[in-house]
Amino acid sequence: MTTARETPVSAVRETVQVRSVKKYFGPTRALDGASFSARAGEIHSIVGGNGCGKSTLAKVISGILPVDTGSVSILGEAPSTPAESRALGISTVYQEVLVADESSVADNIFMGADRLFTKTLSGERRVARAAALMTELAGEPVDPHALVGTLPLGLKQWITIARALVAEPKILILDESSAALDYDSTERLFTKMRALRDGGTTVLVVTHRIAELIRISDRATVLRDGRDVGVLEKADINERNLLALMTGEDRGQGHGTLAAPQPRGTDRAMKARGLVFWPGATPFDFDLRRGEIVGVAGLDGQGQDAFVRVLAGVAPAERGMVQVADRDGTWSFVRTLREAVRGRIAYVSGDRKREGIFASLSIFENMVMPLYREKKRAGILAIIDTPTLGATFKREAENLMIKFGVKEDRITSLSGGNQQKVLIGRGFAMRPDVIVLNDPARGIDVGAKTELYKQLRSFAEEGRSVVYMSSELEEFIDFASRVVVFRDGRPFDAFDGRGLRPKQVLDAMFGQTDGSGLTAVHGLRPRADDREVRSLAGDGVRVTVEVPKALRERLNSASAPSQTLRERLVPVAEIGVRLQPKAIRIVEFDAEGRKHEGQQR
Amino acid sequence: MTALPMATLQSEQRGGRSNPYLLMPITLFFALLAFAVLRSPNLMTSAGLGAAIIVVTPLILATYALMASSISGRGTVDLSIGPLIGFVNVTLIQLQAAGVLENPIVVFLYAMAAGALYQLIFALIVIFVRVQPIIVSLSGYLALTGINLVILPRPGGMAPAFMAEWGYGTSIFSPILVILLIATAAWLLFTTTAFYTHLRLMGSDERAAYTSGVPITTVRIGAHLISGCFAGLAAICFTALISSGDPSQGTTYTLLAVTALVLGGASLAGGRGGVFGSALGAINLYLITFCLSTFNFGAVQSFVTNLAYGTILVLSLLLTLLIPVIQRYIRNFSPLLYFVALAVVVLGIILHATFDYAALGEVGAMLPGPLQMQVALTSPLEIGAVSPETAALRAAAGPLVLGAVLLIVTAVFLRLAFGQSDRAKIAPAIVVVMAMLVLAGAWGIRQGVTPPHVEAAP
Repeated sequence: MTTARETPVSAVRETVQVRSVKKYFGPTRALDGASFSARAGEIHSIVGGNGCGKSTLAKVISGILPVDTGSVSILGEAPSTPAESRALGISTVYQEVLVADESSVADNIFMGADRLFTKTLSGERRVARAAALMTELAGEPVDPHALVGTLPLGLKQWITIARALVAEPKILILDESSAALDYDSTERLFTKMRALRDGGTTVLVVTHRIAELIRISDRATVLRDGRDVGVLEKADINERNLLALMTGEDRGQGHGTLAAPQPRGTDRAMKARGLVFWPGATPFDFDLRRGEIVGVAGLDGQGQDAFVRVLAGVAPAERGMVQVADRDGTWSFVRTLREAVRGRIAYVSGDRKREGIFASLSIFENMVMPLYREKKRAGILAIIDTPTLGATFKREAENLMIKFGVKEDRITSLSGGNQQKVLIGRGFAMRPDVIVLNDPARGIDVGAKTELYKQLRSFAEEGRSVVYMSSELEEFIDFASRVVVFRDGRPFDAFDGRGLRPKQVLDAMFGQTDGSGLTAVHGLRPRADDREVRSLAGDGVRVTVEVPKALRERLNSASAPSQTLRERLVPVAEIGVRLQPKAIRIVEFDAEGRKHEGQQR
Repeated sequence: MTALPMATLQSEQRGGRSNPYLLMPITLFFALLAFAVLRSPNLMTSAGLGAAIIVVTPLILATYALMASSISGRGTVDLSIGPLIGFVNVTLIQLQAAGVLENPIVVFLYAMAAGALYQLIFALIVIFVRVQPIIVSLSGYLALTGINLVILPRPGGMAPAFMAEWGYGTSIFSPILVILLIATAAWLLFTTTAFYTHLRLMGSDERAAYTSGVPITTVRIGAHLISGCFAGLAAICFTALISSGDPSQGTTYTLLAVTALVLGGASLAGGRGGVFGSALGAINLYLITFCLSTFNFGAVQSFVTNLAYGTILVLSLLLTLLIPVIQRYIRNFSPLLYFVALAVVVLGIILHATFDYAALGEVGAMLPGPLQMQVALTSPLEIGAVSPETAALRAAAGPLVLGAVLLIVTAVFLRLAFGQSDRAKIAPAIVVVMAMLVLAGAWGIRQGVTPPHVEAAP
């Protein structure tokens, strides 16, 4: 915020002018008379709820979508193909990570830079430029000859950004481009954006991430239902104004006034013992209580992603085991997806293209498909019970406020955010005990997020549990019961959800905290201590249980695996009122009703 | 972070350079070659190799034609390649009979233009009507099969006079080999152009290419034109092979070429493929036939051959499942180094199979094999004089061993140079050098002299 500067309004020229543009996709109204203008040398955000047409507007400006009516003038011209817009000096980074997996990094970065038969830059210079650019952007050296298919998603995203930058654009359009980037990378991207802005480039940012937007934008245009509803100047850009414009009503603080749900007891829904995600990492234990929302955070590739996948049975752990309790408290293992479904664990992925939607099926089928088997009719014939499923569909669609035309429409007819809502609806429709969400808010607007939090909160208050991985720290505030930060494939620190400050979590993500949260009150332990004395602080009563030596040996011999003995309960967060520590006496009555004091308690 | 020393910089770079998809074709090639030579040493004569080249070249060129269009993505597997070859073949024969095509240059131009024209129509339908390429090619297959029978109802006719002797296959250096080498070299030259980069980017992800401003329509048409030219060359080689016209024989090339393409490690989804793999795939198919022909299956010979094709294709596809595992451990697999290493081993086997041990001395029945190796290993420790035949063998083997060592050292050196440099384009040059080495060896066979690494049996 400190580096942002006020742009003198009169001195700059307008580079992008869009006047009352309309764009229809069949019956869907994507843009309905939207106008937009941007100047040279500013970072201009395009904001709005899901399906408000901001991605469509970005595509119109970048020249890959022809408009139905209205006028588009970009640098005085109206490009109609990507090649033309590139020649004009417009570079676009799209929401999808568009890279050619079979080609090298250098070829991918210079994609489209060549003429048909001749190269614009000699091979060596191109390779050197690609290597330098990737080192600068990604913060680590990348082999420019490497095949892109061998790189992780974050680096692929950088390749698309680098591709836009090598064209030295006059107008740079970033459509949700920081979605696959972690906090550190986003900072580097912002630095680059500011440098471009100072060089006179128009930078257009389409984003859902309000916090980022507030920090980076010089101006913001808010869209609602395909129209522009307001332009905010730098000084006016804040969460309250944006939300008011986006929703068309003054929503005030949003979910800020609510408190994070707290588990009522020490009853556990899941436990994990000795988890290791990759060779060489430290094993750790994890307990999930009923009625709590556990936020999972971490920098890219630090194991948090693997953690939620292992919990949901999507991917196997390197070592260790995950167990889930049913309603009677019987534990069963979670090793495969099948076992996870049996244990009533639902998994919702943020990567909807790869792990979520069935693109060629309808909205209805996409949401209730997992219930087909459960709600079947006519015994072995297994006829789909459409009325019951229809009711389920209606309920979830209303709860999540999914915008759709007809429920038989293909799911791809929905906007990205609405597709995500359908997936979350699918998770809820299965009536799970535990719902595991892997960055579900990627590509969802603020209104839907608020709705999602509400749903998840009432879900948790019913005594069920939520594991919520997110790359946006703001999402955890007043929402998560506790937040676990991963680093190097294991929990690095944990925080109580009440009074959570993003700064703490950030520090932990970068390894700047002492990790004291793990041992304190949050039920995550690194392995290695084998104390027999267990102390748990719960409900203000301090209980110390000491198992007599004789009994312990008997127990040891009776139950062969030491696993059950070593079990420790999750300490519950401490509550302000402290009672005196109490010692419990074991008292027995014999057949005559005489009292036997326990051995020396 | 910024002040990393150069040495660690190299090792800490992210990503692997090449993928090990050539692993399977190379392994299969040498396994089959060794087996074929052991079964029938005649393969390694000038006439044997010459005949092999004549038979395999149409298939290799047909595979090139498929490769060029399949790289362009969208699952373009041109099923009509076989009938297209047949079409060019029968029209060539009929036009020649009508006295129109006499000049060799005109014949070549006609064949390539006919193939290219067909592929142009194919490309335009795929691009503008937006039909799946596989459907278009299937229609083409059916249509051309019928048209061929209309043009030439039964096999017959005469090939143009100038190619009358091309199909004899008595020596390695036939005009067919020249066509094959020129076609291969042309593709390798093409890989250095920007157009090829566009083609691969488009094949790998068409949307990415389109949104970055790659002219995908032009590139797709270009890929099909190249494919058509290869198909025309394949048809000429096919005509030379059968020296006449045949409306139905060409059709069999469809299945063979698709099998060869997949065996060669190309991706049917697009973006990956090359002449090295495609040629190996086609040669592998030929070697399977060759190996099986050394057994006598009687009436069911062709069924056994087809069974073997299918089995080996499925097995090699199953083994490609291992590739992600291999990729995890070997970041930069070098197909070339692997090729050279196996080549040296197989050269040894070829020498063993074809070496005329009787020529070494008057002792005719020498026991070759492991025993010989042991003698060769232990003899330096013996003080006594070696027997004359051992001495002769050693004298004959000396240059061979030297040649093999030199070859490996050169390959390792080139590999290291390639790995350390920032250039990616040495590989085609190395392939050319390797090809020239092989050519030199073949020339040596023809001249009857003892070449450094291939020995001919009479």
